[in-house]
Parts: sequence; C-alpha cells; structure tokens
Amino acid sequence: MIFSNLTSVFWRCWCSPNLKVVPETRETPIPKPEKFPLLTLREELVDNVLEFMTPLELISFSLCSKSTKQLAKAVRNQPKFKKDCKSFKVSFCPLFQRIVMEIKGFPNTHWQFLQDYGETDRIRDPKTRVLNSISIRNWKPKKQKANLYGSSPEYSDHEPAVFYSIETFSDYFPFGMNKLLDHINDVYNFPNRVMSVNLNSSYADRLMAFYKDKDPLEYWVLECTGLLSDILIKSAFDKQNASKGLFLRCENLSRTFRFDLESFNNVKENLDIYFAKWVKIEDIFNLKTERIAIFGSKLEDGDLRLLINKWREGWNPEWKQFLLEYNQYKVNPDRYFDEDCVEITNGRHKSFIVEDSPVKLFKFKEQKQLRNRNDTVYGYHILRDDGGIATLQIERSFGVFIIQSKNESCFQFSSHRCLFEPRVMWQ
Amino acid sequence: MSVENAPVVDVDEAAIPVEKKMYYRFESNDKKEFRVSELAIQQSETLNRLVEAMGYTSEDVENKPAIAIENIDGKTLKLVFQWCEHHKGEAIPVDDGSVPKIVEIPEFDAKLMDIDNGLLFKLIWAADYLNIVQLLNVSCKKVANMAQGKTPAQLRRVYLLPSDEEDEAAKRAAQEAQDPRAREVEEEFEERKRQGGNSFF
Repeated sequence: MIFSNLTSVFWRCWCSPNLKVVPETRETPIPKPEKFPLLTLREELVDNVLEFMTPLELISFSLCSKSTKQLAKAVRNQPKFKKDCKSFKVSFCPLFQRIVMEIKGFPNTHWQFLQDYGETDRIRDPKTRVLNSISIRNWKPKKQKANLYGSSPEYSDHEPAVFYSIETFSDYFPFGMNKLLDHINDVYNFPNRVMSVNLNSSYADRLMAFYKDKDPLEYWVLECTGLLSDILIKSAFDKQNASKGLFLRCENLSRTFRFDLESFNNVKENLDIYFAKWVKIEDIFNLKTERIAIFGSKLEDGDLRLLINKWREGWNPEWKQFLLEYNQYKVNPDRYFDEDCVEITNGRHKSFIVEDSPVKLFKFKEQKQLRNRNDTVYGYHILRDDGGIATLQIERSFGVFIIQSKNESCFQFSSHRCLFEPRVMWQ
Repeated sequence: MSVENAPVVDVDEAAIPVEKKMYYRFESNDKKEFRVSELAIQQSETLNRLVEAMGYTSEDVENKPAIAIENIDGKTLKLVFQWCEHHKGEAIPVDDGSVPKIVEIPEFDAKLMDIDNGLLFKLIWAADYLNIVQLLNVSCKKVANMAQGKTPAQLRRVYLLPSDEEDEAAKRAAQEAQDPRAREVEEEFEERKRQGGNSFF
C-alpha cells in the first residue's frame, strides 16, 4: 500500500505529462440552496433555460424587469423561432375578453389570458398588478380540454385541444388587455395578430373606436348573431383596420343592409364574408384584396358567369381569386361555356395550354382525397386573346375564379380551408 | 487516493461492448477519483477529445496518474459521471439552431437532479464545461421548470433577478467605477497634445 502510494506520488511529481483540464479563471458563485442565480450563468445557458419555459412562464419572466423582457425577447428572436408563432388572437366577447397564443413548439395547445366579466377582483392586491393596468392573482394556469370542432363526426377521432388559462382582472377596458397584448407582442417579436370582436357586446362600438386610431392589426374577425342596428354594424365595418385579412361573420342582418365593400380595400390578402346575403356581384368588381371568398350569399352560378365574361372581354380586376359558395348544392360545370373545348389530362401544368391555340377553353378533372371522402375537382383554363389565362375551379358547391399569373411556373388553385375541411372548422 | 480506493460509478457491464471495455481515471479538484468507461466518456465532447488526444492504452490508464479536472468538485463530478454511465451509447443530440428543442426529463435524470439548487448550479456549469449536451439540456429544463406557476415577483426571488431600480443602480455604479480611468486617459491625451506630440496612439 505504502509502495503504491509512493509510486503514485513519484508518477505525479516527476513522470506525468501535464494532463489537466485547464480551469477557467471565473469563480463559481455558490448560491443559497433555495435560490437559483440564473443570470450568473453564461448568456447562452440563460437562453437555454428560457427556451424551455412555456409561453406563460416566459411572459411572467419578461414582466420581472426591463432587462428580463429584453432577455425573453432575444430568445424568441432566434432564427429557429421565426415561424414558431401562429397568430395571436385577441377576442372581445359579451361575457369575456382573452388573448390566445398558439406556438408550434406546443402542438394542439392554446395559452390564454382570460378576463371573465362575471368575476371581480375583490382583493385588489397591488402586488398582483402587472404593467400598471392588469391584475393576475395566480400564475398557475388552469388546464382544460376542448373539442374545437364540436361534435363533427368527421373529426370525432381528433384529439381535443388543451387550453392553459390564466385569469386576469382589469378595470381599464380595453387598455388593460391591450397593454398586455402589446407586451406579449413585443416579447414574441410581432407575430400576426387576430382581433376578434363580437359586435353583440355592449362595448363593441367603444372598442372599435379605440382600435381605429391604433396601428393596424393584421387580421380582424367581426361577428354577431343577434339582431343589431345597421348603423352599428356599418360603423364597426368602417373602423376595422385589418392590414392582411378580414373575416365577417354577421348573421341576421336586416334585409335592407348594404355596405360599400370598397371600404375594405385596406385589406391586402384575404376578405371572407359569411352570411353574405347582402352582397351583390357588382360589389366585387372593384375590390383590391388578393383573395375574396363569399359564403351564404344569394349569388348563383349565373353571377360567376357574368364575372368570367367580363374578364374575357378584357377587364382586369385587382384581386387574384374570387371564391363563391353557390346558393345551390350541386353545380354543373358544363353550364358555364357553350363553345368547343379541349380536354387536358393535367390541369396543373402550363405546358398543356398553347397560347396561340384557336381553342380558348381547356377542360380538366382531378380527384382529390380528403380525410373521409374523395372529391372531384372540375375546371376550365380560359385563354384570352391577349394571352391572359384564368381558371374556373369547381368543387361541390364552391366555384373559384382565379386570374393566373404569368410569372408562376404552374397554375395556381385555391387553398381556402372550405375546400379541404368540414364546415364546422372554417365557419 | 489510490486506484483501488477510488469510488467507482455503478456500471452496467452488459451494455458495454467487450472491445470498448476500458476505464479512464479522473480526479476532481478535491482529490476524489473516478473510474469511467470509455463509452460513457463519449457523452462529454471535452473529455472524449482529451482521451483521444492522449491515446492511452489500458496499461497507461492504470499506471499513469488520474486525469485532473481541477475546477469541478467530487460531488458534482460524481453526478456527471453517473449520468454519463447511465446514458452511455445514446446518441448525442445535435443542436444546429434550426428547430426549437423538445426535451423530456427521464425518470433517472429527475432522480439524479433531485438535489439542492447550489449543486444543480454546479452540475449545469460542469455539463457546460465538459460539453455534455443532453445533460445540459435536462438540467436547464429543470431550472426552467422552477418558473412553473410563479408570479413575476416570485420569479425575481427564485432566480435572484434584479429589479429595474437595482439594474439602474448597478449601471450607475459601473459608470462611476469606469469614470476615473476615463478621466486619466483624457488628461494624458491633453498633456501630450500640449507637448506638441501626436504619438499618443
């Protein structure tokens, strides 16, 4: 044993090469056992920790100080999180208001701040106040499961969505919720926002006025179910400031309701109007939104034919796609044209269309496989004398008129949810 | 400490391929010695490179002194090597920064990290230093889990986060500490200018 120890000492002193892991000069702080000095870790490790927090935890962290907000923001600014956020949705309903966040890293999970108007904060503890305007007493989220698609048999096997909710209280309507939204929006580096307002809420007009003067939000949803005055609805339509998409779901509008759709020309990408009995085909002509979709209207295939003929005569609309849900269930695509056409086997490739062809109509048919059924897509590519091409795509009770771009290598088709998913999911 | 008396981390013999059955000896900064299988060492990029560079034979391992890891103590190193032995042979996750990380803490790791925060801090520091990617992931996740259900005020206490006022005060103090030197440099510059030289830089 002594010999062995001596040998060991001998080896250490004289014979060994310097096989050492070189220590860093920084001293390791020794924290108290119940605390964790997060910010004494090196920056990359702090990011690592923050990356593992849930969205609600990260927001709580970001509310600790200006510097923690910057840290949270920097973590979410990494390239890998660039497309991680789905739209953040703010809803104002008659009974509650909420902010719902969806992050791709947490699939089928919704994170929400919810203010139920039936609940009041009797304690009013100033320590629970954040951003000087909103109280959050408990940061332990309530977990609930909800079937987003109701009892749709097509989605009976679909996993219910999980909601993690944190209750908020604020007397400052709608400033409180808006301040929290601005904060979250900043931390998450400005994802798209959806503002959803139920116009049946007693404060709807005040709310619309508040947001009218703010920076535009990307998407707006305006909905109502009960009878409302035309004036209130028109006023709400006028005040929305959607930059990318507007979705109108206003039921039971009066028979005399009319609105100039050109007021929606601030909307660049999507305009969807449901329960659109008040919309006429002429209203569509001068719209500038790229994709327009009209559901539940009185429009029929004759109206779409009118649009097609107008285009064939040389008219160029500023929109690119017009989707119409017919006021009839089955549509016969052959009723649209009474001239000769060429049947092509592939409706996607431009090579099947010859520009100087004497035939101006190219008919195609495709099978599309959906979740529980097969659909047939009928269509025509229509060639104009100036070389312009448009497509009529017909599926079930939907017709889509698409102005094709010369810059694309393939023909574009509509990818609206109504063509792929059951009604319960998109309406 | 002699080789015979070194604490040996539990090893699942069956999991080690016969040709890889070589054990390296490491010594912590408080002179505790550990024998760790070659396969387990592969979990640490730092140690793996080190032993590869040394090119030890089985005899060298026994005869030469233990490799000193001078900035990690025995208690921490024991946890590190226990983790490496348990996860030996497992693929090392690659973080190319392209996708958000998804990490679950396995039962073994949860038990291993059922330690006070001081030791957890040292474990993270060691995992980072020895470049053990997955141990770093699970230990950081454990720290992130401390935020569960906490208000901002509670998070300030748990993570020892300074308030805005404290940040401001620290910034002011840092500026004040820096100022005398800045003044000195300025004075020196002015003096040289007065002397007509431009060789300050």
